[in-house]
Amino acid sequence: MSATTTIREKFTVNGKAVELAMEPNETLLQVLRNNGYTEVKNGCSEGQCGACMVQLDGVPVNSCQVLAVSAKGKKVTTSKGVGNYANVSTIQEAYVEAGAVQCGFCIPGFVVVTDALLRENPDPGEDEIKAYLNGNLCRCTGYVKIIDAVKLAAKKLKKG
Amino acid sequence: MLKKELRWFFPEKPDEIPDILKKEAKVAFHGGGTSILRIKSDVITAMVDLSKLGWNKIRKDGSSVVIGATATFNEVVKSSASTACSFRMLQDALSRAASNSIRNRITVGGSLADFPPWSDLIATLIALDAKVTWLEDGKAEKKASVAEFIEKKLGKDKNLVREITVPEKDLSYSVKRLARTSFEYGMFNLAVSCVVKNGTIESPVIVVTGTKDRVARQSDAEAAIAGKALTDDVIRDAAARVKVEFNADVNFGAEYKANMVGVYLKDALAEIAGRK
Repeated sequence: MSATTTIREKFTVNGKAVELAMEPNETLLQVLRNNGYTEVKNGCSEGQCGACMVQLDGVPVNSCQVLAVSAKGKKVTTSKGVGNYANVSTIQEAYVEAGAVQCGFCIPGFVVVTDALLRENPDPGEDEIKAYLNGNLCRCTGYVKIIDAVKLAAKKLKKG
Repeated sequence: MLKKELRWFFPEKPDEIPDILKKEAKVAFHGGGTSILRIKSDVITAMVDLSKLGWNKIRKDGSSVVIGATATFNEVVKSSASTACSFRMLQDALSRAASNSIRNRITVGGSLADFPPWSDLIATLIALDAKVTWLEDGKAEKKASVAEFIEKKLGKDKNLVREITVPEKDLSYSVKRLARTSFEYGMFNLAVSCVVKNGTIESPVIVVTGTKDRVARQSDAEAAIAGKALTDDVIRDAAARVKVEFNADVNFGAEYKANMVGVYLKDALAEIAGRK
């Protein structure tokens, strides 16, 4: 019988200190999903679609392109860290109000990146929004309403 | 596929690295991990993560900018270490690479060591006559031009890129890449740098990467513009002297890519001449 290779590493996920079980060769996407964070979506697994986007110490990254062990000790924020059913964030409200959500598969990734963008630049222009969100694909909306949602979120957050 | 039995090391000082290299059969250096996840080599037995070495700093050193190997593309793009034209050229080139989120992971050291054909880094570093410092077998520090580092394939297994030095220069430049969409890997990169003095071109460097031989310096095209003003005729002549060979891929034919280098060179020179 071969020895187990599973290890446990500490992270802070959505503000909570946790220990996650993982194999040393797994990506952060695999580890998060295997540990119950299924709001992180598995799209292409190649860093092309952005469905798996999380913030690592506040910076948006494709979790499928991060080996989980390399992120140990870091702060991971998923879309549920931005807001959840009990505490819906302004960004999530804006996505719904702007009609930006169709099938919804890509939305967790968009929400994570929008949150990072608006913290970095609370008043982004359309070109800045497009440039910042260029790693997120949506195959339903055609992006117009997503860009509207980001603008609406920025407006709402400014109003406070 | 990467092995399940992978051992991870997080050295805090470079002198911890040679021991790891000695003990482990096949080591991979981990910066951002994007190259490793693309290759997923099943022969790697150990991963040496470089994040605790503090090699992500970008600083001025005399009349150069020194970029630590683990600085990400976006850290370079957002850096205010220098306002020199040469550093702006590098920032401009890296700001076009892949998507915003991937640029938060790709490191300059990893991109230089791995040198994928779509690299948005190398053509510009060569055009800027940048230097690279690396640790041979994790120990002895070596330094060479990026052009030599690439030509002699010094980014091999046990050589670890430590930093890149970009000279601060007042120059004119243009960088171009052929890609299906802005966030996709480039099929080739073109970097042009030169000094424009009294309307004439001095010290031109034209570099294409992603070619069959990975890098193709365009000496004939450089000769066509050196000492001349960038008139339409001179630009056309330079573009006609482009010599590049590509492999075809699923997106573009080899001949198409070669033609596009000429088209992009015309655009780049027109930009430098202030006509675009």
